[in-house]
Amino acid sequence: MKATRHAYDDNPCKPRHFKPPPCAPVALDEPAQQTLEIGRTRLLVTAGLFAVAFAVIALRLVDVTLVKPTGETRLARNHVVGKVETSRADIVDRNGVLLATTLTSPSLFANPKQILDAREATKKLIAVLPDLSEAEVYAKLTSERSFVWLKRHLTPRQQFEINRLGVPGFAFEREERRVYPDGNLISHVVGYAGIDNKGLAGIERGFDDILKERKAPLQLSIDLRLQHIMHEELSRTIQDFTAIGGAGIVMDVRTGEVLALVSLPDFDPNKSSTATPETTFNRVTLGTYEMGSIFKTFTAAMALDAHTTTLAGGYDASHPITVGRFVIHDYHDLHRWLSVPEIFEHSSNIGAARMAMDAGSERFKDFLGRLGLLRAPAFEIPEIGAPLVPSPWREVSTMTVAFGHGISVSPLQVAIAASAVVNGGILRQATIVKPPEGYVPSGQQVMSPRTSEDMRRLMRLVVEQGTGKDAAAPGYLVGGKTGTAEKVSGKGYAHKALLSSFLGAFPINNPRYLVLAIIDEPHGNAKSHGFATGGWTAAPVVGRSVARMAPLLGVDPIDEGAPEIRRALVIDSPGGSIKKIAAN
Amino acid sequence: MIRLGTVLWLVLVAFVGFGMFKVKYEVMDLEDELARANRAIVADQDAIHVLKAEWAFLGQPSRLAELSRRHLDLVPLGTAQLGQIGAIAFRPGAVPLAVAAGAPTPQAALQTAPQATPAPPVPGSKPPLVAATTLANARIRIVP
Repeated sequence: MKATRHAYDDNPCKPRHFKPPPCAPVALDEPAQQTLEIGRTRLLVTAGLFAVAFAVIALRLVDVTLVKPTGETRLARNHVVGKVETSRADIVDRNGVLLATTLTSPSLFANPKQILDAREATKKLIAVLPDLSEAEVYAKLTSERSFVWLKRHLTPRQQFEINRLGVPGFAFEREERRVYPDGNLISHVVGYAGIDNKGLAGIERGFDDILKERKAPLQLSIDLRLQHIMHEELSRTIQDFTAIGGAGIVMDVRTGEVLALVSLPDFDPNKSSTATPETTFNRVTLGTYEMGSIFKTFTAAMALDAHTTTLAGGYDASHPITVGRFVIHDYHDLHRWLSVPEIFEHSSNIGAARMAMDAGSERFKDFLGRLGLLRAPAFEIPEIGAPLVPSPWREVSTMTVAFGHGISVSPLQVAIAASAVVNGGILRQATIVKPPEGYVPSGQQVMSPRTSEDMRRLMRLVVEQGTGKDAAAPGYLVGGKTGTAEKVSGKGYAHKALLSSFLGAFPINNPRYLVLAIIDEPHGNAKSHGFATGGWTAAPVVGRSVARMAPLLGVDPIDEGAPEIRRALVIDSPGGSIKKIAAN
Repeated sequence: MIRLGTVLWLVLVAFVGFGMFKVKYEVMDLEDELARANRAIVADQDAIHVLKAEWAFLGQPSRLAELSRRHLDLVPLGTAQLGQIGAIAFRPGAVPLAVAAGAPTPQAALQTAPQATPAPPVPGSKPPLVAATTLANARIRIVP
């Protein structure tokens, strides 16, 4: 079929898809038909594409609104959920009282480059934090740096106030801070941690890794109440006798647990940066001292255990002993033969020296070694002092060590060894971490139970009628030994600088606790008639402490005059009768 | 017929759609609430942590001692205030009085505890605990 040609067919301006108006039924020719087909197909393809796009949008809409609604935002919202976690575990005492904890608090810093008006910002900040110096803050805010600390560790209220100022350039960062609620009271036990959360002293240093790893609090064997009693009594005595320091330790003789450990002067671990070396020095574990007469406890125990003498034996103490340039004489001079109980009771240096010589140097040294007095003890606090042992060990060493001179040991060592002397002869390691309930660590039998029993009788005698009368706490049956050592100064001994001490245990018929008090350089006062010896200074500390501690420890008071108690502690020796004769 | 079916389906779709969105928004609200609660728990734990430190600070033994000295009329426990039940002396004549009263209950009690029947305890001695409780019973019964 031949299509009719129109005039406009030849028009060069005709649009490509020009369709003549359907003014009349037109029989379309072939090219027109084709054009129409192409148009329809294109329309269809476009519609299809749109349909797919809408379908995709619809599906996505369903997906977004119904299938997994706001997945990421929920995750973000719930992000903070969980326990409050700190980077260091708490430390608590044996009753769960908090000794050290970590608190997080906001700290304020500024970016001076973002501060628009430093003078106004300073004025606003000073209004909220009046303890800051205006000049200092202004200098910081106008500095060239892009980060300056303005104030560390704010309270939540201060943070709120600063936020309300709306100063651009101020921002907060949460910082952790180690807090010691009991301050000075436990300074030498717990020690302290530095700003970067690193333990620098005491338990904080000894257990640094463990504290960083664990979540549960670390429980110490310390009893804060006993710590307070010891601290208070020692402080009072130091003040009364204008001493330069003191040390005290309370120990459970059956388990080796340390219940109180006080070293004075002390420091506030919350302000560890201001502490001086004298205050951070731990006199109980790190300091080693010539302990003086307390050592006669070990001398007597050795002699009794080796059977070189008995409670009925004795030594001549009528003349001072001269060895080379040393002269050993007695403080309470009696100028006669003394029985073993008398030597102990009157703290005779001559008698103790002879007692040790009688047993022999080897035996004495060996015994002290068994008691752990010749090497540094194992203990959880890292500040541990090693003893100063005479080397070489000469005969004169045996004599002087017998009454506690010429050998320096730490009070902790004395407490460990003395626990073994009174508890039936079993030496146990000291610990400051609370063992599980009812756990008794294994120990080493270092002397016979019989020796221990004899020693308890001797120690009771000292408190009942010897040098340690002031250590008596009626009803609690304290037994012990006084010690007064002259401190080494230069090459000799300073007669006026004393180290007075008292080693006590109670109830002495069946000891449970040991109390050791040491006063460094006490000066006699009117109340003590000018005396500054162990019996006048340290013994009352122990007496008063025991009277206050015993009810807390659940120790029942005993009738000290009861026949069975007297029988358990009586000494069958000629000493008593001789003394009576002498007194007459 | 087809029209009615279509309308029914449309209504159903509308209802299901409405229900679904309603449930969805409820769940979202609950989730918000949960997140809020969790945040509150953390905030409270934080507060408890701080309060514990404050409690320990306020409970310093030296502070308590000072407060007790200032506000309470208490003194440390003396040995005279501590004792054992067994060591308490009997009031002279207490047993004869109880027995003479002839109250049936003490009698029965005494019979069940024959070791308590011997002579009235001497003051200062340590009678067995059973006797003490029996006597206590007897006295309580007689006094009113």
